[in-house]
Amino acid sequence: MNMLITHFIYPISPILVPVILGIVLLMIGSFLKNPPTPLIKSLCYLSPILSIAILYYQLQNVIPAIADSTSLMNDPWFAEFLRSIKLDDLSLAFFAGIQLFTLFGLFFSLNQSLNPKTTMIEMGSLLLFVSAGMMLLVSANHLLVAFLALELMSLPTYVLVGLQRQKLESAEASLKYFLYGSLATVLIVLGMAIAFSSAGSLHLPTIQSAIVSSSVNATPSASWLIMLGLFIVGTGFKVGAFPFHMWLPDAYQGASSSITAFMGSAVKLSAFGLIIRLFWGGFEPLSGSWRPVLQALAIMSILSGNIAAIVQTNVKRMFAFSSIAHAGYVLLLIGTATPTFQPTWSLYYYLLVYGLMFLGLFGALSVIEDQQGRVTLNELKGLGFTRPLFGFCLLVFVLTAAGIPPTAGFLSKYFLLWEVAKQGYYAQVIVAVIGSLIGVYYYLQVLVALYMQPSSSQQPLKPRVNLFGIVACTALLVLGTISPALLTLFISP
Amino acid sequence: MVAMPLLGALICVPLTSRLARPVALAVSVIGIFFAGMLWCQFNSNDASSLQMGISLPWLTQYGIHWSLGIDGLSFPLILLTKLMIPIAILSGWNEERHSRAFMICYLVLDSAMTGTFLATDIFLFYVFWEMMLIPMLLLIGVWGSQERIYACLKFFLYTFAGSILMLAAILFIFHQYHAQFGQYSADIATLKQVVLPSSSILWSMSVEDLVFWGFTLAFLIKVPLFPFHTWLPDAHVQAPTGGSVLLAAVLLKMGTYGLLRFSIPFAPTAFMDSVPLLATLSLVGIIYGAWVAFQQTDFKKLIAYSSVSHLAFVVLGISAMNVEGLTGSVLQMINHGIITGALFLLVGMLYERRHTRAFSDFGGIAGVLPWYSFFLVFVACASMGVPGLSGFVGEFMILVGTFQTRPAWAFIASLGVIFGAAYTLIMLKQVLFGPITKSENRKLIDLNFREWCALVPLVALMIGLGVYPRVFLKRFDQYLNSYWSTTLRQLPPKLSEPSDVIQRTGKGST
Repeated sequence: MNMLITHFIYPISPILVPVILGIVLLMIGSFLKNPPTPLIKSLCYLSPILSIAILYYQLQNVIPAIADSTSLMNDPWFAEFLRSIKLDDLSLAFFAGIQLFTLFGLFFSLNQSLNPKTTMIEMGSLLLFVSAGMMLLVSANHLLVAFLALELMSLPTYVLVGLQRQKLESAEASLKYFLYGSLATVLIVLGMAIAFSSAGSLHLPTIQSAIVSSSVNATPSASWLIMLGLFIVGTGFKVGAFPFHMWLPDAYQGASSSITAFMGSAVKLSAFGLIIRLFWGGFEPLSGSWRPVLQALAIMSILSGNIAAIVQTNVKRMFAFSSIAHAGYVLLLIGTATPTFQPTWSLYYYLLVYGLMFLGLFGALSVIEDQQGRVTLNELKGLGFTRPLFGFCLLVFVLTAAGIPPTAGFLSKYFLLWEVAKQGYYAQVIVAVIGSLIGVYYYLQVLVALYMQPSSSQQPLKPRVNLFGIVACTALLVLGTISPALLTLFISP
Repeated sequence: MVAMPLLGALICVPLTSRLARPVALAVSVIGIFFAGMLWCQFNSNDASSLQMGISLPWLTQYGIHWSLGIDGLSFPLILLTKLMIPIAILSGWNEERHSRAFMICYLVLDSAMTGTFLATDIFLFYVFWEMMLIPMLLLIGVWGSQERIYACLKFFLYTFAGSILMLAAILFIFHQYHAQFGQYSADIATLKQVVLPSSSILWSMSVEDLVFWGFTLAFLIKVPLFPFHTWLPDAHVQAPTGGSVLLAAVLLKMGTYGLLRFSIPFAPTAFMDSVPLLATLSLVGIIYGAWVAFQQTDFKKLIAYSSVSHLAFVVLGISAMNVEGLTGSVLQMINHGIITGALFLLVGMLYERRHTRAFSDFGGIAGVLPWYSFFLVFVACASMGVPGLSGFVGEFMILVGTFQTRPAWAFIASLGVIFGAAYTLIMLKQVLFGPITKSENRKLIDLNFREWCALVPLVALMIGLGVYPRVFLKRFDQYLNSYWSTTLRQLPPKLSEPSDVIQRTGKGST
């Protein structure tokens, strides 16, 4: 029993915490007639805080591997479980990132009055379940676990997008997201079927060795390439890379800003976690095939996202397109990896900085959305001077997104391009920097609205409690500039 | 020294607008004291090496350090920066709109500019270089005149476009260094050891050429050399007075500073190959800038185009590739900073009184504003290059330097000086002399104490530098004298003598 706790429960406890608290929350909802709001909120916040605390403890102390316990390993159930999830340094780092984003996502979602009060419990527990699914996703070592985790992540997200049932936009976004997302899942499942038929297993290391042994003269067989293609399309949908990005602007615009904040940061982080697990892990022997494809998708995402964002006046939609471009940068980095060169630190730092920026920005937009009804450039006018702190935080977020020194956004983009250049892909670097030059134009439009145009709204904006979250995001971004190592505490460079 | 203005900016955040102004001024005056200390401590016998360097680890796995230091090139520019900041703050004293944020912008700009000149780490330099853009963007965009948003976007996109290609070049140099020396470093002096392959890869351009142009385009846009100058008139005309002063006095110098600090040492061969091109562009810039200035009806635009012309002189002096030309260029950088800064101040004073900059609205105010007219005539003389004032020394040395290598270039450039005299005199005639045509001009009030404070130090420097530049020059001329011999050291021995170099490039172009 003791062995069970130290060697099994303790290692996976960061995943268990949100599941248990999510169930507790649902119980409260069904047994108490009018549960007090503070109770719900504190239970929700407790989950990521507790998870991060456990993760920090695990970081300081060596996690006992499940494999060390012979009594557990004799049990076939545990042996199989051990094979299917992978708890290494990378998953620890991604867990921490996911939980940090979940904390901010919960904070902004529970405080946005646009999200119906009556569904607060459901929303909280759904977010917790999503966070558990995301953690499982980035630690998957078995395609079946990856599939289950993907569904655990995606299904609640579809619901969260459509939470404002009365609004047509929200319903449309939810349906669109659901249809595209299901299509992606179908393709991934089909890819899994092909993998199973070729390798006889869904276990990633087994697939990896099967690919190596079946390749003649390092040319993989056609079935592997079809599988690879299906996975690229499926995961491409999930991260919103060109040309699988059509759902993304609508979903990001239709969902309430706080939910978008969560989707754009945490969901994106874990989807990239899955891509790393697949492409840098199991499908690594196929790298000769996926490297050019991922790079091409990346370049197209950078250019199309940035160009499409120029004409947007709705800030949510603008940053949805900008997130396509940012996904392109990350894909570019993933697409330059080789077995000996897997720049996880730069990738993690980029995603962390981007996620914090996105959370802070959409957390701020959620305030505006609540009080003005919509978020176009018009609603941002003059905020830099009427609400100096709020405006300053927005300035930091926009400069971070644009990657202008001295923000952490610049550092992260610099490190990313550094790694790409290290592999000698200078043409890609030049296209990427030109892409960010295009991007600067629309980011500046936001700055122009914030600082250079007179305010147009009648009632002044009241940031209220959300200001804490926004300022916290800004503070973390500043920390990320001063000491990137401290922000990426959970991963060693 | 870098951190001080930033701290000052932080102090200003909670203050009221009324208090922020004196605090900002105090911070910038303390900056002058720092500059004075620098003047005393700087070892002029060793100007070509780095002094007072500090280095703190920042991102050590990439070889990046927070390292600052000063040498004979950054020394005069730091002094110029520190001098211009309080003057810019004084000029914005009466700004009513968001004056606290206005002061914060100046102080952040101060930090970034100081950092750019002091950084001895190429990454840190890039960070400061870009950081400068944000407060400048806000200064133009928030406190500028009618077309300010267009102007600030143009300014930002233009300079950003240049510097982002520089970023690609920096990345390339890093990895080349790693490939050749087995470790990462971002220290400028260390990175200079990189030997760039000279094999041609793209349209008969070698890797070295590409790196050179990656850096140089960024700097030429900043200078701005013809044909990259189009952002400058817009930015200058729309910016508030203090913004124009700093833009002209300090920001434009970063371009020529970058040329000397990065482009030439990193890619000396590519530089020598492109000397004819650079010189041609600067000659076109001299004549074109002066000619366009001649046609202007807007006071500020005239000065902006005269800046284009004067800075092209600086580039010409650099491309003469000898000590006289270089010394002239550095002097001209300082002189242009002081003179054009003063001219923009004077325009700003007139604008504060009349809210117009068109020549047609003035005329005959010499009788109404005697002191103002005195200063304007004085500064205009310095700008024209009247002997005895500072403008003359720089231009003269550049012409001497150019004449030694290319008499024809010097001849064309001296035409620019004549044009310069012409448009400046016409400007004086239209603003100050003649009959008073507008009745509003009769009731103008002459300079007040604040304006005297801003102008007197500049005018004193113009006389000082014009009559006896030696006092100033001897602090750092050891750097200038050894510049060409040290930067061209890497080349094959046959070419290391400047005269050989000139013959070689000369043959290439004729």
